[in-house]
Amino acid sequence: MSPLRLPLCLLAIAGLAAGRGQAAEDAPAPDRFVELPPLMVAEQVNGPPWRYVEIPGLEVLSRCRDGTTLHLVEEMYRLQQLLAVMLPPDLQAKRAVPDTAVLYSEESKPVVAQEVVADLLRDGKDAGGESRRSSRGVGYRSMPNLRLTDRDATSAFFILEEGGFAQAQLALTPDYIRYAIKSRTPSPPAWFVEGFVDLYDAGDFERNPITLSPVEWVSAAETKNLKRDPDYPRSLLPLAEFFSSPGPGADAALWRGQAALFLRWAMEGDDHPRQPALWKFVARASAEPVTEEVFRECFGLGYVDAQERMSDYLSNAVLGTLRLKPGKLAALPRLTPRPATDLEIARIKGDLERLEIGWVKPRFPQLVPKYAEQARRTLMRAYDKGERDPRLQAVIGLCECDAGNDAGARKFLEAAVQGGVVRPRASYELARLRYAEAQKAPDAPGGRLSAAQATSVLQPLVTAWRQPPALLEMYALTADVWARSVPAFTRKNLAMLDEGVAYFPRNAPLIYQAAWLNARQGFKPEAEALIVRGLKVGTDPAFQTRFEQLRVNLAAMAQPAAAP
Amino acid sequence: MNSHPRFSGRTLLPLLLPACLGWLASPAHAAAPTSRDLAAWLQPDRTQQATLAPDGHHLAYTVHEEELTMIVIIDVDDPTKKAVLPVGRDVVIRDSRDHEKSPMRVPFFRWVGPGRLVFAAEMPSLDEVDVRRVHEPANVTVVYAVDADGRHLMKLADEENLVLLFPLPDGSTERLPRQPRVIDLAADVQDSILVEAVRPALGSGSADPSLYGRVATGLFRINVRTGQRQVLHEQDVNGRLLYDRNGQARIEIWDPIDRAGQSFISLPSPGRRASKELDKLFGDAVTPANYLGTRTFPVGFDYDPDILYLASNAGRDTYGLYALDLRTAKRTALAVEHPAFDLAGFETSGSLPALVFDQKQRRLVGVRVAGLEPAAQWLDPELAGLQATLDGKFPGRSVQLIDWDDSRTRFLVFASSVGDPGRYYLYHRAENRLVQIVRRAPAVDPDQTNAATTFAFDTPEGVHLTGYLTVPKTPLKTQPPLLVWCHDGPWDRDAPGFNHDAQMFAAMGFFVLQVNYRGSAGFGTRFREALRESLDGIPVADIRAAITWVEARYNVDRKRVALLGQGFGGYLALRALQLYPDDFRCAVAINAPTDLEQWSRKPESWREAIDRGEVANSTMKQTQDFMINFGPGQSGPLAQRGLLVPSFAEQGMGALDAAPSTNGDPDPVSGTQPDAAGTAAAPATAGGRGGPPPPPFPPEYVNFASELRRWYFGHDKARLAALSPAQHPELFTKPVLLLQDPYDAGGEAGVSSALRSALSKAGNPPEYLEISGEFTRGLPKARLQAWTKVQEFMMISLYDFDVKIGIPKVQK
Repeated sequence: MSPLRLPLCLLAIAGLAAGRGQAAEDAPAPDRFVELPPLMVAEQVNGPPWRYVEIPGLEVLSRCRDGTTLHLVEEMYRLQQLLAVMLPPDLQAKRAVPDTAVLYSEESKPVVAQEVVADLLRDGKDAGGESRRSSRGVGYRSMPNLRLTDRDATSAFFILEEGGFAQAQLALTPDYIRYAIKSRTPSPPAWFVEGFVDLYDAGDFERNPITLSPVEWVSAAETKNLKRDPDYPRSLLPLAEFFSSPGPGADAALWRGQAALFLRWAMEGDDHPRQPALWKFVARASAEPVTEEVFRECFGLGYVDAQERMSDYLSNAVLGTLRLKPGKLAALPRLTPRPATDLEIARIKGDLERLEIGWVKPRFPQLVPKYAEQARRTLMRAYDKGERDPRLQAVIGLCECDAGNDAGARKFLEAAVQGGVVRPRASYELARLRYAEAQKAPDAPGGRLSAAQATSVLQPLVTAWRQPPALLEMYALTADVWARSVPAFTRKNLAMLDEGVAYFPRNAPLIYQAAWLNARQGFKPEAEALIVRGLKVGTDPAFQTRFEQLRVNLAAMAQPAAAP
Repeated sequence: MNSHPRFSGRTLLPLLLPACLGWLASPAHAAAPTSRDLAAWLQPDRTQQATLAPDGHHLAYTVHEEELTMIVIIDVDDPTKKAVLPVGRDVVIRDSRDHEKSPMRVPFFRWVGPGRLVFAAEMPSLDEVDVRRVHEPANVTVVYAVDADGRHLMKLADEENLVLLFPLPDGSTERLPRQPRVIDLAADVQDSILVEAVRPALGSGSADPSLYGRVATGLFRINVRTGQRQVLHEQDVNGRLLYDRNGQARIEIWDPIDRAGQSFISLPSPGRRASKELDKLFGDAVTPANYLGTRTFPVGFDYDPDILYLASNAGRDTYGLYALDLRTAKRTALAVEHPAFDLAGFETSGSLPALVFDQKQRRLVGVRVAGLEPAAQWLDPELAGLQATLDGKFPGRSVQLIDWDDSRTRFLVFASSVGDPGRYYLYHRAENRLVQIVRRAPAVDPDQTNAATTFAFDTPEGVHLTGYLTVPKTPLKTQPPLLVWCHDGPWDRDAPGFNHDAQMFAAMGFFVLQVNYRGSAGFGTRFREALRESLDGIPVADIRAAITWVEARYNVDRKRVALLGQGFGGYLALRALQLYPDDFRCAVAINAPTDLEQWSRKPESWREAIDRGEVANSTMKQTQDFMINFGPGQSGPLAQRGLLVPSFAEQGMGALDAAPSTNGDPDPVSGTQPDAAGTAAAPATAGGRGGPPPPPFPPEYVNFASELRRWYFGHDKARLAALSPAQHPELFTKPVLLLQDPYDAGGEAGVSSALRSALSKAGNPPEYLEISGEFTRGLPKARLQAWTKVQEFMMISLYDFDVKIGIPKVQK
């Protein structure tokens, strides 16, 4: 049985097990799927009760039977551990905020709100998923599951067909794997992201050891030829070219195949001797430009040596499987779902609905008010009952921010941060609002912020800084505040920006900000190093000019260029 | 009596070596390799040649596996279309001692036109040949052509269809088979190749001095599609012929079979006169005295048959390559030179592979340079640019452009290094894409390969030394021992490229150091001639300097340095051990001369009275004058003056003028018509026509290498005795292993045994292993047997296993 695909765990569950094959046959090719609005589920008075269960890193709100919920949670827990066998946690995204999942039972027949359907029908939108016929004869399909991400958290829903789910084999979807890697800071290079996704996709996680099926090289025909003839000619991109490419170029199939081949080669062998080198290399490639020297330091091989080994390995890779021993997986603590509280329902479901707004906005802008209204309704139900949990207030504040209601968001965000919420984006948004306010009435001469104003803005940023994931906007705002404040900070303070540059090494604006601040404060070597880095990264001519001008100013130790 | 008698470690070696090696192999280090491990390093390369068709659509390469040699042809655009032609199985050469099979060779492998591949298959002889005496078997060669799809395989030439028909007095004819040798593609006739057929001329073995040593040489032009043969030339010569690209014999090269040495005689050809100027340029003879000095010799013809390429070191330190316009007897502007490396050896091979021609454009496009790694100097800017592009794609590798198609869109490339046997790629220039075609030695596991590198440094005395260092990947000790491998010589060098033997010794746990000591060839005259100052002192000083250099950079065990050498290198190994017993722990000498006085003690012939120096000086003077005074000034190679050795008298011939030939007649021999079978009739006289007069004195066959050696080493018996290891057995205080082929072609067997006898008499018998011709021919089993013996010897000598039964331990 082929495994099902979970996006973060949230998966394509439309038709599990027995029904799945037929569904797959009937379904259009993936590239023909039409994105559809997610479910907008109104609270049903007579619906099944919400249940709550929690494991490290995941909160689940479920309207399924406990057995189904536990099966899902256990599978997710197992898959996360197996993922860690292939991908060290250091190379996965870290989040201080647990992921959340909302489970619906297919039997409870959750539906898209009738007015949404009506709107869609009016606009003649197509639909997919579970096909139905409207009274006007227009087909649509409700979205069975969806993973939605904010900059500091993910939330997902899915609808489970409980009858067949207990025996279902689940797998993390390529989309989730891609997200788990890409959202790590610093973000790994594209060749690693795509190579790993393909590698993972070839894995059978139901077997012990994990078994990766033979590689398919470039095309089925090429793979077949390589299987038949070990001398069959093969072409690989020179590694210097491959590692420096931002993504697949003209020969996308080769680039993608080589990405997977490289990872597989690096993970191959008894006791996987090259694996530590691989992880070290990926970490360095995420943070700095890849050179042959870096590669050699990690693998002890030059580019050509490695490429030759990969070329030789290809003949084996198309024929053989790669086995990875997971070792003993940690046992899942005994879980007992319990009734969810109003707060949990509001916070988790409300956050999901908040994120749906962002998903709907570019696709179905006419539906945004309805989704916003639904999210507010869910969130405020608990708030109105007197719940003042910082996490709930943070979500409400973010919801208002997403809706463009900064004024309405402020009090919730202030309360949440005051309450010590672990929600980096909420802290950032509060800082942003405070900064906007301070800019309207700067206390210091020259339109600058006073130390008190700057501190007011920076205080929630420091909070956010301590909570993963690292947010680019947090570093950018910090730099901006410093740039427009009376300078009262030290090189030690600026180390925070060094960290930002390390997390976002390819972000030229941030590098420029950091260079400018270092230059202004007279930290010449640090500024020069950042300029050098920026010139490598900022290929845009405008940035090149700005960096060059900054270098000129730095050389003269004159006033640096205009504030960024 | 001791109830626990002590046993010599050597006596018990076969039993205890595994235990000893196991002791050495701490957890941090690898176990010593087994014979099977070592054998893997000695396997012959699977693919030795590859060639790209001029239309770029097909590519062929040789494969040797499981005792079978094959040719593989692939369609470049659809590699699933692949033809595999079995060519021949490995065979045991008759009378070989060890009955080890020898693989066949493919000495010629080229496309002739877009769809026709021509190759020569050279099989070790099965004839009754005493290979113990001739050392190299008389091989049998067959030339084939085959279509790109593997069909229409056709035998173009073999010993039978190049037969020489000799009329006998009774009116019958005797068929005298001749082996074919493919010279090149015929430049003037499409789809044709030039094949030379050679055999000893009738009477060449007689006492008649005018016939002695003459060779019946024929040149055939063969159509590779029809098989039709045409005789272009038949002549009995005293040496070899140098042909132009149309198949006209242009220069006769007399081998130095007698004391007159080697001469070059310009021959007339249709429409062209013989060039006396050329004869003067090349001098009367190559003698031992001038062989290593200033010389100019021909290396091949251009597509323009009036352009002759020359190698010369006249007025400079290293050999450069130049061209002579025979119409004007002046040099052209071409001057390809390298400041550090000779672009030609001393030998007049007649077709220098260093010259690279573009078949389509019919011109010289580059010169290959045997530096520390293979390289090329491209005369064609397009190829120079492409070389730079490809070098950038293979950092750390030497990239050789092997072939390219007529449109120059596809290039066959060989990328290798001293630590990598290499692989062939096809470069698609338009797509900037490299496709790996085949590996040269897939049996060599890159993950097991020991890192190897070239090195170059200046000694404190200012001597620039180069060489190769192979670093053990899995040393047996934290501080691995150092093995110094001395190459044969003195006029030889360590060859560029992957070295299977060095890899094998590194796999045993040694650092392997190869030094191009002074006296080595290929690095210019001064470097080569520096040896004469001290035959042993100079190279041994260089070896010690290299050891010091390595020691400063690598974690070698300076207390455990071993020496190994073959031929003159073996002599150096022995001398180093004698002179610096505290520096070295042992020495292995393979077919090494151990008594120089005895080595040089050959009776002087009646021509001893000839003043060699006079001949040599005359030759060098005239070639130098020519190279300096002729041709455009800017092309002169002559920035350097004042060669160290040998000096010569100021009695040059002066500049050569374009004087008319004394023989302006067309060469009647070249007009010889083939008979119906394409065979050739023997010349009416054994001397042939158009050639030089026979030597005026009864010849005496001599080994030119021996003569050269005798001249070089001199006749001072006392000096030679002082330099001879066998004369001073008392100086050996460290172990010695002698490996000796009793039938070694170099003739050193006797002088090697001199040391064995001397050491035995002195009560210090050396270790000894008799090796066979299979070892010299590089056959893997024979080499493995010898190297296993060396390994045992080294382990005992370096680690001084002093063993009680069952209790191995290492003594410092």
